[in-house]
Amino acid sequence: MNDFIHLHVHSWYSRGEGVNSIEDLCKHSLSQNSTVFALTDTNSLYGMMTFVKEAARHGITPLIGSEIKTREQRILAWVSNTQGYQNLCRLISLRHCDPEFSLDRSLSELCSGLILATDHPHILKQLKKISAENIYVEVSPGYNMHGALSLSKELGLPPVATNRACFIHPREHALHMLLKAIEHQTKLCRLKEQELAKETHFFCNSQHMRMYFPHAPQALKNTLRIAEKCKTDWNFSDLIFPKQHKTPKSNQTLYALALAGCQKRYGTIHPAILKRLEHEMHIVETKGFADYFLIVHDIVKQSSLTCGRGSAAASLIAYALEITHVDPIEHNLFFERFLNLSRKDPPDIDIDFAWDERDKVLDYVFSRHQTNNVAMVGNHVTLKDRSSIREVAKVYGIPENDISNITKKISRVNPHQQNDSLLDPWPKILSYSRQLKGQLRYLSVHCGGIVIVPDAIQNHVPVEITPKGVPVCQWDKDSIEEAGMIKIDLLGNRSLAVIRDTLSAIQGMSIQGMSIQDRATQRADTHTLSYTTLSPLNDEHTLNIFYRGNTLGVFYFESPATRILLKKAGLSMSFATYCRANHFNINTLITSIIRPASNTYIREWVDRLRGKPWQSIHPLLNDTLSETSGIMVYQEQLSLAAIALAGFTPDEGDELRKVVSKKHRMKRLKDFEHKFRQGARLNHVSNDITQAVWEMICSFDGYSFCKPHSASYTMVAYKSAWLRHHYPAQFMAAVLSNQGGYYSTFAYISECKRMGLTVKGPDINQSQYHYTGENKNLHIGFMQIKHLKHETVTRIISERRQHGAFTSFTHFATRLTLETEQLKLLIKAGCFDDIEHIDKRPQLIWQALFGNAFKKSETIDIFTINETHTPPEMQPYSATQILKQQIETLGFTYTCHPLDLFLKPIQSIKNRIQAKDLHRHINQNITLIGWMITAKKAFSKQHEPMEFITFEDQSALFDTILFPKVYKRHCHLLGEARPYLIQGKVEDDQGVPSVHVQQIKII
Amino acid sequence: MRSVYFVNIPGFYIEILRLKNKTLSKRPVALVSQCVKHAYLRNISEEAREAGLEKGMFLDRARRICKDLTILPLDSKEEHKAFKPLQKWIAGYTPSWESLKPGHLFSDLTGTSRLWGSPSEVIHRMQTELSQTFGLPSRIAEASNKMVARIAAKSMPLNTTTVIETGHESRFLAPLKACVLPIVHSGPCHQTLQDLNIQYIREIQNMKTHQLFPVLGSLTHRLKQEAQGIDPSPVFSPQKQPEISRSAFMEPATNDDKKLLQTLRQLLEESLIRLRYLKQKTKSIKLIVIYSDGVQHEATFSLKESTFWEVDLFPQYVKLFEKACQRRVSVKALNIILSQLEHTPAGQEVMNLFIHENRKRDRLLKLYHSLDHIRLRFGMQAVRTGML
Repeated sequence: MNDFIHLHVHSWYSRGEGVNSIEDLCKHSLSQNSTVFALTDTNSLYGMMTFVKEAARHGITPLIGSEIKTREQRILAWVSNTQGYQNLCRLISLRHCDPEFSLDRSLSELCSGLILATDHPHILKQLKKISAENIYVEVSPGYNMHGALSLSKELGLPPVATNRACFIHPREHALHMLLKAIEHQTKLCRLKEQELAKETHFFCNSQHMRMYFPHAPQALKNTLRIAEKCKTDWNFSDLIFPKQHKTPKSNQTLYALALAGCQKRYGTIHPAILKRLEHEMHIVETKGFADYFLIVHDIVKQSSLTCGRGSAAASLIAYALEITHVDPIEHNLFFERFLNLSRKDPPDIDIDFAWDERDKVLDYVFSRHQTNNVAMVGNHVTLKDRSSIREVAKVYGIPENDISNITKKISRVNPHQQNDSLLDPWPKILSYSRQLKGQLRYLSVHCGGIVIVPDAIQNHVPVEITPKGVPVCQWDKDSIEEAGMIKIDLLGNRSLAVIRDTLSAIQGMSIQGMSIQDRATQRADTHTLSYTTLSPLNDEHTLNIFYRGNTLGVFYFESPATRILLKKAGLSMSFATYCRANHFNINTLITSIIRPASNTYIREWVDRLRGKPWQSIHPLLNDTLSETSGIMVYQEQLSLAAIALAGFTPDEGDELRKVVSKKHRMKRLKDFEHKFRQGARLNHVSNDITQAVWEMICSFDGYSFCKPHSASYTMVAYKSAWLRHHYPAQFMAAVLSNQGGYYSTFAYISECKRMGLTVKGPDINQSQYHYTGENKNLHIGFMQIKHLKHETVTRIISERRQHGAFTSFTHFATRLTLETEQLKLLIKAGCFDDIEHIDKRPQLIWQALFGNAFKKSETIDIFTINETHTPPEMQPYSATQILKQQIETLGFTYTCHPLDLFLKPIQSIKNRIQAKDLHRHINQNITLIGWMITAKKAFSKQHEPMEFITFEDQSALFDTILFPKVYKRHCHLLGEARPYLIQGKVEDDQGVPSVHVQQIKII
Repeated sequence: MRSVYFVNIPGFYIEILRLKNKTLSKRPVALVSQCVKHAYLRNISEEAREAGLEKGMFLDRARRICKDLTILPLDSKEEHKAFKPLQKWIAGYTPSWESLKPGHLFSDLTGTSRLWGSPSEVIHRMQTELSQTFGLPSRIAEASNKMVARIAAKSMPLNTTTVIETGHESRFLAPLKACVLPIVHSGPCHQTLQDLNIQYIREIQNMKTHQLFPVLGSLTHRLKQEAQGIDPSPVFSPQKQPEISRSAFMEPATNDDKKLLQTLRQLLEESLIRLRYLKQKTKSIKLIVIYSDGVQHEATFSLKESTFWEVDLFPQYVKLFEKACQRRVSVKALNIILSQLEHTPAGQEVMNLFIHENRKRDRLLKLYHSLDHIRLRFGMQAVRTGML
């Protein structure tokens, strides 16, 4: 039995202090034969749920506490009961939210249920006045230990020994210093000694502590006393449901709403629909989810454009309440994936809103519910590969550019590979940054998670306030779920905004130049268009987009891997057959099968789609896998397979799904494997088949989707594709304006040209803030001009609207007084090329500088009295200078392809082919010129890095693969926006040509 | 009419080394202060420049660009020592000569044509002497001022000479790129000229002052002057330099305050020794910190009374450093400039009224005197100051 327990331990959740993860602390504690210790992170309970979980895994008793620190004072607080936990949460919340927070004042109100220790005389005296019970004097070696012991005697308060551990081993002191420097954004030599822990403040063993306390053994014994008093029975099995206000009979209300919704969706309610509705209602009522549905329904009503996704899309109730938009009956979506009677963890409903409307929706939620009951879910931003390198390098004084160069280089090479070419101090920086990976950097807000609880949120979790003034929980989404709190995910989706903006552009589009008949048709057409009524499942043009894989700009379907798979699927059948087939299901499947869980089966699936005979791996799986040609693609198929083949209950099947995708699953997965094999044996399934199905199940440890989720997004994609075909200019303008696609702006501009659109530069009389599309023209918006202020654009547009178009630069400058730099940006971006002339750009810059200089001096207005101040004759910019200005102001060239800038060196390259002719060179070695569009790093079966890169030349996009050997040789050349010379062999990958690169060079 | 000569020996120390080691000739050579991967190229030969190298480049990168590159250590002491005979040589022509760094010499031979002959004779003689006596290649130009002479010399091939006749400066400069003018590199001038697509000096010459003034402000006058080939700055003799500056490259660049302060103290010490040698006192110290990302920060400290003693300046330099060096990015170079110099004849020290302090100060000053003697005899590195 240890005679000392560590009651003051910081994990990496104490920013700038603790070095180690909670898992490492638990392991270390066990290695010292100590099965109890307290986690006391500074001003936080960030790691509490992880601690409780890890402690249970390692057989450790977790003691929960925190070190509350202000600039002058500090105190340790441990939780002894539920009241104490609530008080600690409140105390921490106050520390973060109250700018006038005073530790002694707050403690006087919130000390019940807490055991407190400090060496601060004033606080101790204050606390003693309230009660001396559970108040200790903290005595730590290296922190005026003898003074603290004297204080203990003087005040008659018991001492407690702590070592204020910030790391496990003294050698980690260097990491502690680095963390402190990162936290304070300073360099090592400027750290103040008093702010740092000493090398002796490590998670030492009790023998080591005894050495420091030969004269005060009571201080050591008191650690055991405190540990005994602390709360240790942490149980989070109860779900904490939100409560819909003013809805006393929520079950009845929900049923009535769902019934009405079904009526609206289906017209008549068939018995099958009613049966499904009642089945769902039964589960929802039993699990107490009615209020949750009503709250989500209320939120969804705030926007006309939403997309309910995730497993909730399998619910008929959600479909009826217009939370989701895919018919779960028609598309055979499995409700139990979302909710079943035995599911213990809380499922959540994910709703997408147009990205720029989400804040408005969040405001509504905060105003609808009591502010104290709502908070955003936190997100622990930790140091990752690149960020840890960046932060450590900054401490070492490395300039930003050098850091970016190295991180880019490192991200392309094998991280396990030694980098001998790096100069000092980079090897040291990389070594430290590896050790700091996973450290908490700061708390941010989860992209959409929101928690609503029936009472004050501070009773459940400490809360902080973001700079925008929004309350945010200290826990991340996993901890929130583990604590039983039910969250709603309200996410921003750019594609919904693209659809909204395209529809709005169509409705407001100019009808000038049309015949009266056309105008009438156009009006009728556009007025009936809306997000909900847009149902293009049978529109041939839309289907053709998916059939040919021309999906750049189409949400969810635009990545190179998806486009290639669409092409392969399209090549499996004629277009007429494709239109007759269940293309929605094929496309839903495509977006799921490309995920890591099942992408190894893509080739087999394509073969089967092309008619390769196949049989279900076992007759018991016929129903489960028939819709995916016998291949396990969706998450729920994993559960269903276990149910069908091995007799799992739905709950066990769902649990298996979760265990497969979780870390630290080994023991539980072993149990499930045993059960699975046993169950399969009982069903007379051969060992080989059991093994094959188990391997399929285990492949879901990678990223995967459930069918309802994929189906929801596929529906959005169909709407996008319809708009892309019928209103290409408006659609691409919306894609570019919302800046949210898979590709860079330049890639979309190139696609616009391939689509036959004319890309027009920014124009002072034509451009809006956003990109705009009309007929076959795409106008670049002012938003694309780098460093042009939003205010400038607003003023230009408003002036133009009020007083008409600008006739010359002088006219513009007399009407609007802008900063010189802003004027220069407009000139260089070509905004005045139409009303003046491109050759006059240098003169206009002179006028801008000249005019503003006079305006500043207030002596003369050059734009009105300019006869004596005529601009000097100036040479027009050369074509190269103009292109440079396009890149400088817009970030890309739109008047020509960037490869045109390298015509000379490109022309000297012999035997090069164009990307559009790739299919004519199958199995041939070729040379191509390409501009990098996008790249995706992957690992081979031997875990060697390789890369899939999409390039484009003036004729088309083309996909390449750099296998490990080639990648290793050339990875250092990749990454820059520049032309590349690519040599390789064209391979026919199930009908789609791709280049297997043998050599790559920079031009 | 003034007659200013500019003698340029490109890659001066490389040429000195080549004299000692013939195998180095016609090969790309670069000088570094330490032969480590992250050293900067401090000077390069013409051959290295032709191979694509530039001054200030990382050695590691330079080696990758130019595989045949010969790297040699730069020994500043030796370089200055080797430059001394040249200074002596130019002083034989006129006492009015100026040298800002080894390999660069200005001399003002105004009114000496009867003594030395016409400018073309002088530059020919100078080049012959440099070649025959010292074995050094050179570029020499004569013009009516320092700027034109310098631009003329720099724009010529090696071992050539040129004379820019008085009144022809503007014509000579007209076809040259605007960036050769010194003013173009100060403030926003370069960017503005680029924006206005002004690429050649002739375009600046053709523009009227009232057209340029509103766009370039106070820089206009000097730009117009320089474009016309006007430079009124005199040739300063070593004793009459308006300021003393010392700089140090940190190799490798560092953000360690201790190392930086140590270097700064050394620079200050060197500058003060030089001041004492010139019998000049300073009233202003400027510290320029150059970070490795190219950003420069500076701080200035003005003294109430001029001084050349460490005892007066050392208490201030840490504050000066803290003011100038606030970023955590590594520092590449430190540059210290002592200005507002006042000539102080020996023995004109202001006495302190407090006898005790006076004695203490006297003792310190004696110590510095002794240290100066040791350094003068055994070199700067003979005695070094330690920091506690």
